[in-house]
Amino acid sequence: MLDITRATIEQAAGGDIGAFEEIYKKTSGFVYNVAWRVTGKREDAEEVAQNVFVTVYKKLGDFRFEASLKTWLYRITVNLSLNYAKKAARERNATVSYDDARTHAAEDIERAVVPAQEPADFQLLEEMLQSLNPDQRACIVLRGIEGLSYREIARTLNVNINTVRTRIKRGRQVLLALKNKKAIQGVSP
Amino acid sequence: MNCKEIQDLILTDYADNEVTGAVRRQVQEHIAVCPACRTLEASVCDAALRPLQEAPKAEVPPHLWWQIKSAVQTRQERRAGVPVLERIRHLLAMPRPAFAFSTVVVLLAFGLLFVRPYFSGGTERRQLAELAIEDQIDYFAYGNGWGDNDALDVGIEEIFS
Repeated sequence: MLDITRATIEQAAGGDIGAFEEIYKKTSGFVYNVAWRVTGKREDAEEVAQNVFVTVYKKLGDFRFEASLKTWLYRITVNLSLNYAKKAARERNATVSYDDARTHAAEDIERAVVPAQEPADFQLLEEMLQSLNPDQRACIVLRGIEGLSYREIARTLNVNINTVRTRIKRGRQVLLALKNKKAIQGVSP
Repeated sequence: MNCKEIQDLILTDYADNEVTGAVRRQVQEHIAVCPACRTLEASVCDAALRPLQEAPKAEVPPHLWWQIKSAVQTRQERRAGVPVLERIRHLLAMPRPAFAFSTVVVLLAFGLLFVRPYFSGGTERRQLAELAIEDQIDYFAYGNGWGDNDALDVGIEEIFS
C-alpha cells in the first residue's frame, strides 16, 4: 500500500503542490526504477519519470478511486516506458540488425573494464533485460523486481492474464538461453 | 502431468507462487524423480529469478523533483495568468477540427435554406414553361380548329375540299 489518503489525492488534483509532492515522495522510487529497467538507461528513465508525474498532475482530477493509485501509476509508467523503449528499438533497427546490435552489445560488455562488483551486477542485469523484447521486459520487471502478481500485471498492462503468462515464459526462456550462451563462451553469468 | 506441462509451470506459475498447494505438491513430487525438470528448476532460479530479486534499486536523482515542480508550476501559471480575451481567442483557435466541423454545418444549413429553394423555383419555372409550350401547341393544333376532327365534327378533308 502507498499510504496516500484520498484527501491528499483530491488536494493535489485541485492544484496543491504540497500534496502533489507528498504523492511524488511516496511513489517516485518505483516509478523511476521501473522506467529505468524498461528503458534500460538512467537518462531515459529520468525523462520518462518526469513525463509520468506531469501526466499524473494533469490527470489526477480524472482518477477514479475504485482503482488503486499504485496500479494507475504503474500503468502510466509502463506505457510511457514501453513507448520510449519501442521507439528506441525502432531507431536502432533502422540502422543495424537486431542480432548485430545484440552481438556488439554483448562484446562491448565483455570487453569493458569492470572496477567493482556492483557495476558488474548492474551491467549483467542490464544485458539480461535488454535481451528481451520490450513487452517481455515489462512483464519480467513487474514480476521479478516489483513483485506484482499476474493479475496485477494484467490489470496494469490492460492485457489478458494468459498474455502475461506467455510473455513471462518466453522472457525466461530467453534468459536461460543467454545463460547457456555465456556458459559455452566461458563467461561467468 | 507430463514433463512439458511441469516445465511450463516451472517457468511461470510455480516459480511465481501462482499455483495452488495441490499443484505445487504435484510439481515437487515430479521434480524429485525427474532430473531434467530438476535441472530446469535450478536454472530458472539461477538465471531468471535470483538476479532480478537481488537487483539493486536506483536512487531517484534529487533534481528530478525540481524539474517536475518547475514543469507543473509553469503549466499552472500559464493557465492562471492568461487574460479572459486571450482565453476566448485560445478557445476559438485550439479546437480546429470542431471549428472546421461547425463551418461545414453552417454551410450545409445555408445551402438547405437558400440554395434549395432557388433550384426548386427553377423546376417550377421549367414546369410552367413546359405547360405554356403545351398550351401553345394545343392552341396551334386544336385551338384554331385544325387539330381535333372529332371536336368540331369536321374532317380535315372537308376543310380543304
